Amino acid sequence: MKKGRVVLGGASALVLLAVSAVAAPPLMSRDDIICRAKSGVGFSYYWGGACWCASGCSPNFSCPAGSCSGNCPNCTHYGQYGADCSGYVTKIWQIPNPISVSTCGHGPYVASMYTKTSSYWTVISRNSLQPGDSMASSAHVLLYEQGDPWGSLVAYEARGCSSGIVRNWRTCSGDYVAARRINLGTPCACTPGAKENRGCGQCGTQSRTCGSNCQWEGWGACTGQGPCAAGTSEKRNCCDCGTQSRSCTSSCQWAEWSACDGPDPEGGTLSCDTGEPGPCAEGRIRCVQGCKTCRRVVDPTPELCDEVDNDCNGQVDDGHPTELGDPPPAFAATLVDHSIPVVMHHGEQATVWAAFRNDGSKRWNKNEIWLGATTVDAEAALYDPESWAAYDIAALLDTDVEPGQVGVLTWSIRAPEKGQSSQQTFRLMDPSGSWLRCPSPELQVTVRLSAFGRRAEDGGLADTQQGGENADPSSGCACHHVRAPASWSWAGWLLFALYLGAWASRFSDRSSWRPEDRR
Amino acid sequence: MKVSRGKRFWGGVGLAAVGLVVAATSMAPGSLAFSKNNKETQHVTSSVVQAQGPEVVLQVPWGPEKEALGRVDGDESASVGPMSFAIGQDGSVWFLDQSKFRLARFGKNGFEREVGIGSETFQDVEIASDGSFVLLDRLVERAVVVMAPSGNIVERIPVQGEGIEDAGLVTAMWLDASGVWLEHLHTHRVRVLDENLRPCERQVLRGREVAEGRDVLGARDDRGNVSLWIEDRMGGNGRQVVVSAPEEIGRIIWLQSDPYGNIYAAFHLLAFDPDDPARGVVDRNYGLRYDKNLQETGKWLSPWTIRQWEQYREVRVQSDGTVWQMGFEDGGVVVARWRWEA
Repeated sequence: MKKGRVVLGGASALVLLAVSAVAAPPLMSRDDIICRAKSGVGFSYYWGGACWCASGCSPNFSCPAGSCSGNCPNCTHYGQYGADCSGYVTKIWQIPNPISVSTCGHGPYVASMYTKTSSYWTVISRNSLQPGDSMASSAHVLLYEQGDPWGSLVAYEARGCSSGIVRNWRTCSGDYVAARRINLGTPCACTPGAKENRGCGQCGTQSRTCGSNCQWEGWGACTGQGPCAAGTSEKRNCCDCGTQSRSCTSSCQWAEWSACDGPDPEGGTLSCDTGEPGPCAEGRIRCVQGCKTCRRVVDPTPELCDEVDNDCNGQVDDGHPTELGDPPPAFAATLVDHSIPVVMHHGEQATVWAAFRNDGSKRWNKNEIWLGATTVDAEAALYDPESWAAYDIAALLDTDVEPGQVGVLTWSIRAPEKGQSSQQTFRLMDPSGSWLRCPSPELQVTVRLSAFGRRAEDGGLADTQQGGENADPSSGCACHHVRAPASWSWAGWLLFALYLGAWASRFSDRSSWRPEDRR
Repeated sequence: MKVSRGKRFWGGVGLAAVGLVVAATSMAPGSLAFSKNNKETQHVTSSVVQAQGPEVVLQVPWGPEKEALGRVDGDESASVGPMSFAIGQDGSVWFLDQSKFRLARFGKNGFEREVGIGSETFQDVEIASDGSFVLLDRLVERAVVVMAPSGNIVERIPVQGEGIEDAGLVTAMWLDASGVWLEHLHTHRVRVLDENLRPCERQVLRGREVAEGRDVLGARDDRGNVSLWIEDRMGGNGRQVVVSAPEEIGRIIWLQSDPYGNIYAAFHLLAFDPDDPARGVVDRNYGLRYDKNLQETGKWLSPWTIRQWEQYREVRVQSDGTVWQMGFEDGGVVVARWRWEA
């Protein structure tokens, strides 16, 4: 009771009376009380003291905890912060006035006062103890936090000089009396009737009203929501291998779906047939705009002479491709030279020749390479039944020709008995009887026909066209277009015959020759 | 039966009352010394025997002398007496006289010896078979300390760890054949030292062990009714009983079993005037003995209850079933026991 005399003695008692007349402890919840109690744990016992520092519900030891030694009240305390039991409870309960725990000053109450009902607390039954209530004896007061299964309790208390402020399980003798602070509850949160709105859900709004108890009622339903939550996104499958996504805008509305796309199935290794000819037939399954699509591996290219349908038009080496592929076809030829009469009499026979370079990869064997006639028309085909092997085979190669060498075929043609001109296209055939296709394996011949005893008496031209459009320019041959004199004298015919003879003798001792040899 | 605490105290100075068993009911209001009443009688049924006692074994006065025990009278703080006591193998009594920084042994001839403990914040003590002391400090050091008979500290481990989040919530410490256990809020126990008093991997089990893999637990409701029940660690819950007590039970003081599976329960009967919650109308201790199936087999009554001087350990039970209590009186400390007829 020394403490009581100290605290309440003299002027202090008058101060207490004055304060009590106007005091108003704040509304506090039980959680508020326990929170303040927790914040003091670890500070020292300070007889006559009552302050500490808090950080929320935790102690804040940036304020030194202090230390106590000796036997109180004749004890010694070092430091500013700490509390004795009644100062601790009084500061937590904020009686008689609101006060921070860090505001030092013991307050007007001692432990024994808490054993009797006062203006700020009421003595209660022990069996009705709840968190934040007090238990007090004539010498000590503590705060009840919870009971334990055996009927004892867990308390916050400024226990004594050697222990300080602690939270601990303990027993209380029959000397202890329970008490409850007034003004327990939740502080007024709003003005009755006030309304408050807030955003909710997916860009919706909801409202609440302040009830007559000056507490907010529950929030109403969330209305006006959009179909999605802002910032979210979703994805879906499309076609048979693609996905697409869309995102939710800040106004909780879905944006448009993105393009349908996806990775190639099996990493693009699945084979398929594009249905196109040639190399374009080979395809791989790709994911195009989300759908499985067979896409060719090789795109069409200009046709080469290589036994491949490079342009994927369904025909191999068509159009007389002049560029050789690598590798070249087994059989390929280039017309390098030829000799053809321009004008012939009806029924006249003439000997002609053509030189082809073996551009294929295989050797031309004697008698296996034929020169065929592509137009089977006895009236206009320059067919010579006396020398041709068949009506459509004008000549056979009579020597072997290695790749890169030139072979010469010689045959005769006979002018038809009537008509003004005759045309024929001669083309090489491989051993299987198939036409060679490129680069220029053919010779187109057009002969003007004359019913009189001399050729080209009308002064016209006899035309030949080599292997399609392209003759080998490297051949240097000047005979592509042989101009015959408009009027032939016998001397002229003699000179012409000598000229032809010179050409024939040039090849008579050689079965083949290279164009290069001529340079 | 109502007992008013304030009218219970005895006349005379009783240091010489060791071993004395006196049956009396007289009270001496205002006396400061020990009471001569140390036994109460109660009618019991034939199947429920009453323990023999209380037999006052020791009465030690308060005081600064080494032959006396210390206490702290709180002044805006907690009042404390010796927080715990233990029984030596020779029947002597060790007091945790922490306010005098010591363990003090008293025998039939009074004070025998003391061992310094260097702190006044220990709250419980156990004595090992080799004479070592196990001390508990929940609030300041938050440690269990093993001290040799000489007083040298040989082990110190933290209280907090697996099973114990807050050292302040330890409700008991005891030593048995398997080691040292700490109890958390009367719900689960944690083994913290092995049988050699060495640190060990913590083992957490519910309740307090009875025997044969079973544990006993207790709970009080807010109307003062107490239930005890057995939990079989393999088979689940076993028998449960509602404690039959003559008055409202304020709290369970202690639960302990002996090697035969008998369970000893001590209760603080405490009731207040419904019209004046500050006025106590019942305040006494009450004990029951149960067999391992929670059949009530014995009871005892004690006039000593916890006073304004706080104590951590009030009751303990020896392996032969003898119940010991340390009670505080104005004149000093009383240690009494109750024994059972063979």
